[in-house]
Amino acid sequence: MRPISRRPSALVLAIASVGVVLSAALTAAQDLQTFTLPKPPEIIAQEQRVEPMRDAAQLPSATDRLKFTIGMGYVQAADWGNEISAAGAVKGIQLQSAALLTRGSSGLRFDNGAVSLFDPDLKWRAELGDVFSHLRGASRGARFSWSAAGNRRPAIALYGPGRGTVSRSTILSYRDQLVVREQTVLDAEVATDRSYLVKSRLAVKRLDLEAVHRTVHTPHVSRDLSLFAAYTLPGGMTVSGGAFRSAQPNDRNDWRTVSLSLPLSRHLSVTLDRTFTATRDTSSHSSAAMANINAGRFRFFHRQQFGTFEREDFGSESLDRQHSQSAAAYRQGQRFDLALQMATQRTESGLVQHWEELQATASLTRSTTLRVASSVPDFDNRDRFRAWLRQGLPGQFALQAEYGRLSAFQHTSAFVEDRPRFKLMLYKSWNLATPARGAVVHGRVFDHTGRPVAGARVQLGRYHVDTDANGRYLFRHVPRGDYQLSLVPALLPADYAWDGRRVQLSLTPFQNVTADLLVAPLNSLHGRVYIDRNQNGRYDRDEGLARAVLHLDDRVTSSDDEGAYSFFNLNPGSYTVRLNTGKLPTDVEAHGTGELTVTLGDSEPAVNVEFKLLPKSKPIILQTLEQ
Amino acid sequence: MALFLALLLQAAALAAAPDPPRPLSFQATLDAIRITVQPGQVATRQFRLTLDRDQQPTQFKARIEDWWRSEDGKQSFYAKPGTLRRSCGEWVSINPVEATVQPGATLTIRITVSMPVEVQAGGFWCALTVDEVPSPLEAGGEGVGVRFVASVSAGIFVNVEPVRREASILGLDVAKDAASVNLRNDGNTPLAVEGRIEFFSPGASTPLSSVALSRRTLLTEPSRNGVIGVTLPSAEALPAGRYRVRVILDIGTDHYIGAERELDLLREGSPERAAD
Repeated sequence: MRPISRRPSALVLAIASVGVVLSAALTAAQDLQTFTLPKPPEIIAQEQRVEPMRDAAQLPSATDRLKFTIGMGYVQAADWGNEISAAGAVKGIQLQSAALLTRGSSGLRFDNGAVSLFDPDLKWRAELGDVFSHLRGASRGARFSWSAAGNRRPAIALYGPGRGTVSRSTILSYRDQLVVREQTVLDAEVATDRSYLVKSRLAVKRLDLEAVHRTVHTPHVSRDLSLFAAYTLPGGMTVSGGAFRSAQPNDRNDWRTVSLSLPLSRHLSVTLDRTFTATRDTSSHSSAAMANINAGRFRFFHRQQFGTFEREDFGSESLDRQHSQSAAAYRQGQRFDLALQMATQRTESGLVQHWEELQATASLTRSTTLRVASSVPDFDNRDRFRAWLRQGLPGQFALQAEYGRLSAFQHTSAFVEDRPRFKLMLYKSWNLATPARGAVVHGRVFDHTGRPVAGARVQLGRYHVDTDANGRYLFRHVPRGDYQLSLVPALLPADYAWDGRRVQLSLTPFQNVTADLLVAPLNSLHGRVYIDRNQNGRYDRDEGLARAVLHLDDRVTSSDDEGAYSFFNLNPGSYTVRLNTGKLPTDVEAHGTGELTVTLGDSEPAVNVEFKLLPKSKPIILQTLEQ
Repeated sequence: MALFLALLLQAAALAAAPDPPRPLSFQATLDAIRITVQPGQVATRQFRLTLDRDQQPTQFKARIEDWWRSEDGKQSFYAKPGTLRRSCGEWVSINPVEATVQPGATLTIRITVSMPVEVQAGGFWCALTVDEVPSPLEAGGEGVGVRFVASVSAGIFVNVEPVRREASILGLDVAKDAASVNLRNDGNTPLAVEGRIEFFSPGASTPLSSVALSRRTLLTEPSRNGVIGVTLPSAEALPAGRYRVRVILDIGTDHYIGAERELDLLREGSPERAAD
């Protein structure tokens, strides 16, 4: 019911908006003038919201969404460029794509980009463009992976020449992964140039172990081996350590570290570490302590490091080195974020490096975002100033301007000065509806005689629909998952009962499942309690007994003034109706046991379930009178 | 929004009753049940009744009836389903019909409307009545007594498209302490009517006083006419005098209907009768 209190304001609003009298239909009956007033759209909208949408089916979406964006832009002293990106799904296949095309002094080129297609149901993935490989690093190529028996995830890849390398080799690789409980425990890749990688990781409860061995032949020959282990003690303290060794023809790298992480409180954690690194000509030892403070909107980080640095080529010179780094950040809701980072490095020789930067991000309006970074306190240092502004525009346009050391559209020559530049991009997005994928679940709701049940609400997980006149229901495009198929008892037609037996379904998108639901038709039982005063063996007018008590299982009812009684909403089956003889008037008695067994059918009520009572007849004992 | 109305019905036992019955209190959904259906469609709704925690287990019995009101809305009439031409009673089934409700428990009655395949367009209505019934096992006692039992009704309105919601304002009158609006339902479905009466002093553009008209249902049979009455504000707020009286009504359409006329209002103690 709509609250009456809202009405007056609606009427006042209507009058105010319309003026005195909008006489769409002005008639006169005697001196009574009638008229109509338009109802304000907001009132109509409010009334439509108040109306319950009980009959609306809740069905899986028949469409997926794909967001497609094209950007055109200009980079000062560089080139025009085009950005193209797409994200979403088509027929259940997830699509991620981003590409940058530029046109400049070196002509039109595909600067970077990748397309990824992933089928979460069939577990295959295809990638084209810039792909990353643990064996090859960042490369341009193509890779296809799929799901295989035995929890394996094989992949075949073709890697082209890496950007910025002199090697022009193209290699073919085969990779296989063993996945146990969503965790990749073994990962191996071998390529046609005899490069190979073996990686193993085991994470069980508190222990995390990882070992990687890699041999690479192109573009450079190298071998490396790394080991890592971490153990979390009760209380959250973590001990971890790792070692890394790599060897190239003219160099080597060693790195070993051990650390202890101590969560002192919910807001404060401290980490201590000791690290050793070495190359062919240098070695260093360092000890560091880090503190993390996380207090709601405020976060603070500080790392203090001490150590020595040795260079053998300088006569085994040893230098003490200190390094400190701090960062503080403040976040005010979703709209404002402020971060200050500071880093200082000192060596015994007096060489000092100091770096401070302030970053602020603010959502000025719902469609405007500004991000600024500057050195502190040297705010007018143009080399360190960066700004980024994005303005959303109507029609899914957006304008984005950047100033600072930008990521260049095209690689600049090493001789070209990398100075701050200005970039302006205009984006246009389209939200496209694409066909969805999913399982089909259909069936019927009927009773055990086969009669269809119309208007029964069928629930499948969070979806629901009502059966049609033939008792049929249909869900299309049901996403993968485990579902419970059931009826909604509160909306089952009143003439039926449901035993609550649900159907468990594990659905995959290509399944077509038929699942029927069975209900029981309900019926009623009608009878009468009467006193057969004329002993003709049947009920006659005025023979009904009011307020006779009758039992059926745990139900109890009483007869009306004409002796009639009923039990409603009964499943088909056999019932015993019992007349409560203890509640009968004292001058009548039941004929027989006071119990009647009735079989209730599927479609018709049971009638004439009658209890006959007889007036109690007291024997007349004649006494002999003495003379 | 569900509106719950607390009902407190005092049951009084007269002379011979052995144990005075306790007052019965419960809460029930008194919102009218409004369903828009297609011919042949089956739709199910619910009625809920919650017995207060301090009550004894109570037996309730539900039934479907036809109902209508007198034109002034002061009297309700009930009859067996099918009495009215526009009755939906014979298409409605309920479950459960009879049940015992424990203290604090809720009785949920399913109400299913099974529309015939061939049915006229417009509105049909009936009522669900739920009565408290004496426990069959309760001892009858000796002597003569009267016991009042609780009964609650909720309207069931079934609409079959196309539905026409139209009404005419036939009259607008004021007496010393009351005003009334005479209406006629010109459509093919019952109308929920509410609105207000405004009193304008001569020449004024804003009302001196306005009175809300509570929601009334205007049926299409046995009478299409209805009178909505309302008590006027005090003479201090609305003194005697000549007014332009305007009524504006919401009949559930996308527009309001209204009427106005000039009237003399007499208040208690005024020397003359109000002249139409």
